[in-house]
Amino acid sequence: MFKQIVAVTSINLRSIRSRAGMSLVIMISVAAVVGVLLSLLALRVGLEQAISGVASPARAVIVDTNSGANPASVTLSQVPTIADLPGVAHDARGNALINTFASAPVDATRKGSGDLANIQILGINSVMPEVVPQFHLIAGRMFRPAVRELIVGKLAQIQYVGMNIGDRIHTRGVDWLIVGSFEEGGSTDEGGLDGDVNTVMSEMKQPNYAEVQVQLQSAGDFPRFEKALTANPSLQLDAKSEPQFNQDELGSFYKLIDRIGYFVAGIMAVGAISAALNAMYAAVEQRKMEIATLRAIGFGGAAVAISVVIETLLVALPGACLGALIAYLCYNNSLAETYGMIFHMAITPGLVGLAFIWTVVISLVGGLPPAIAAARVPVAVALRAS
Amino acid sequence: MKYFPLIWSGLWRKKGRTVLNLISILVAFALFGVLQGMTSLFGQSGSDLKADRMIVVNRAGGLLPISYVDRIANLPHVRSVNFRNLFVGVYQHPPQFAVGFGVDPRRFFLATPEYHAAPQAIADLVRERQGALVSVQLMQKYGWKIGDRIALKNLRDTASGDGKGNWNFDIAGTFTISGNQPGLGPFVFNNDYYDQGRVANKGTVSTIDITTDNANLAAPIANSIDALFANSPYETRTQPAYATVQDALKQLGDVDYIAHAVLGVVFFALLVSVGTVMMRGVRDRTPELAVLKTIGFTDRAVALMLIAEILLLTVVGAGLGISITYGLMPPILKTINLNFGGLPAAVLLEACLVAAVFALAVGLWPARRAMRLEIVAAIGGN
Repeated sequence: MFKQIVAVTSINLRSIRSRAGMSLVIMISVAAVVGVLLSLLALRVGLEQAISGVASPARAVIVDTNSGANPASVTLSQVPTIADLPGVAHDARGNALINTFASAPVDATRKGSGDLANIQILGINSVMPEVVPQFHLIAGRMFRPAVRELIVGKLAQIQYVGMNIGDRIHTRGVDWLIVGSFEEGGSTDEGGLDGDVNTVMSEMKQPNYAEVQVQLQSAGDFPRFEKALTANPSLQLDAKSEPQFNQDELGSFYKLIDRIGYFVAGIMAVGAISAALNAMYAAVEQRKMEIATLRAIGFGGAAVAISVVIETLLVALPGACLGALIAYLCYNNSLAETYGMIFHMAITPGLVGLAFIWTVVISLVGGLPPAIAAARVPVAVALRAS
Repeated sequence: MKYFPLIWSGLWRKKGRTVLNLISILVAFALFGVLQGMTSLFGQSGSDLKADRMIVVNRAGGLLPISYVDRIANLPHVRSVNFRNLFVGVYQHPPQFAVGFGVDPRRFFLATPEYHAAPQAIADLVRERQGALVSVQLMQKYGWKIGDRIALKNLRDTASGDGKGNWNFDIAGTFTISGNQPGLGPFVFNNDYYDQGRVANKGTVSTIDITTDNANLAAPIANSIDALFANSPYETRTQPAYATVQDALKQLGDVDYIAHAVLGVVFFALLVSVGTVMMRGVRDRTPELAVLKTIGFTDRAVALMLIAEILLLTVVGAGLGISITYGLMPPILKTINLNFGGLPAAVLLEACLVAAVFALAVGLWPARRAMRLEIVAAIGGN
């Protein structure tokens, strides 16, 4: 049986040149499906990597007790109370590792199109490099507190004009000087500017921290930290681990992008299947005589059928590779922007694997009916027809 | 027309082949309808708002003091001023959302002519402190009736109302919205009632809408408003009302680019697949075409017949595909809370154009081949 399959398949493949047009049809249809599927899903994977790449389960985001969706606005006086809770990590000098953030929007002009975009000045404090190890300067120097100085993210420099060291950012009637640039492991924060949290709050007249993150001794300390936090009646606050917080905030958005990708590629797959059916029926039609001869000299119907499916797969797989390659060359690592978040699109091995599963399914659905038709070629009739 | 039976039988010479081609074409046009329909829906959202309508928001993305309303009203060329307080409510449980605006009812319906409410309904709302006027679509969605008391949870301010974000409104009437406004439509209620039930942010509003007396002066008026509040704790940004709608949609990403790229790929693949199959069909039919020529059909007539065949197939496929769009769009749009009001004429026209160009592109090669066919060689060759 196996020998038969190999023999028939190799006969098929030797004559494939005479059906080059039809093979091309399958190849291009599959390449189109795979290319579109990967390009659309690369958006979600890229965003997910940018968001969760720097997230740590050992960090807790402080949220409101009633509405858990957004970070809580935390007053200055609440922070020392939070710092005393069990499980909070401390640095060598005994300071609690608590990241306090302020945030203020500024206008930025996109390179190329000249569109206005709203980006963030994020106020950060001195524990940032210790809490987020991916954060470090790549040029210039750190901002100083109490003066209006900023450092700019790597992606913001790529995406917007006027983001070089020495440039000034004008907002609320005052100028901020850019003194350095930073990277943060590809996080979406790289699409904005960082300044000193207290300076940003006083300049923007914000009384409370916009977000507070607490570094815990380990991820395992989260339950006791959260329990102590919620048990404190003076705080009215709750906490979520950073990965959980990101998931709650963006999970439905990921799902939306996924659905768009699956929907569009799914419709295209129906088209590819009908193209594959057409091509393989034609191939079987063309080889009717040959198949009848094979059957007459003793090859089984199953071997013939399986060889047709294999041929479909062997033509579809190079198409899938082509589609994946084009998607990879065009979009892997290319910048995308959604809701003000800038990130690199990413085509990962997992995505490529998914695309190959799609290819196999398309080949099977498109190749099986012609394969069955091939197995059913009436030997005597086909031979007599010549 | 008298050749129609001939074209028809040519098309159905190989049933399976034609049906599969039809499916490919149908699928491509269904996708065309969905993607182009979405982008045109996004592109035209708010485009029926006139240039004399502008919207003032907090530059830093927060609220504005209600005192700004009167200060803006005193500026030259400002014809009317109106404010809104956004209320994002959940009915019973998420995701049953109901969006409302806290307004000064008389002012609101005067300044927003696309909202149509009976004068009696507006008067009722003014009288009933806890009243609300609800858009007809929103009424239908949740099965509300005039006179119902509805309970909503305020998502944006969970300390307001009863202290836990719960609010009651009595439905005093309905209104309709004209023009191409996607979505369920909001409900409107008395801002006085709302403001009293707030703990934080008393005396603030979400947006201030203005109408100018001269659309050509929109830019200088916007500048003078923003200059008035520059360097205050609540700086403003004033922009045309349609710009805010389109900006919000642009945030999602370059929808136009994605749609066009996908459709480009789809139609390229379709061209290759249908073209190849058609070419093969003509090759199979070489003797028949030669016979046609023998009995007196001109080269051009044979070629035209093949093109007509492909055109017919494409038109039927495109027609079916676009009708599928009409079935697909409502559920898709429902997930983002938009209503489907049919594809715009421009998209339908575009589909016709694409179908014509596609049929020509696919048909040209087979037609050329058929035209150049030498009778003797074609019949003799077989």
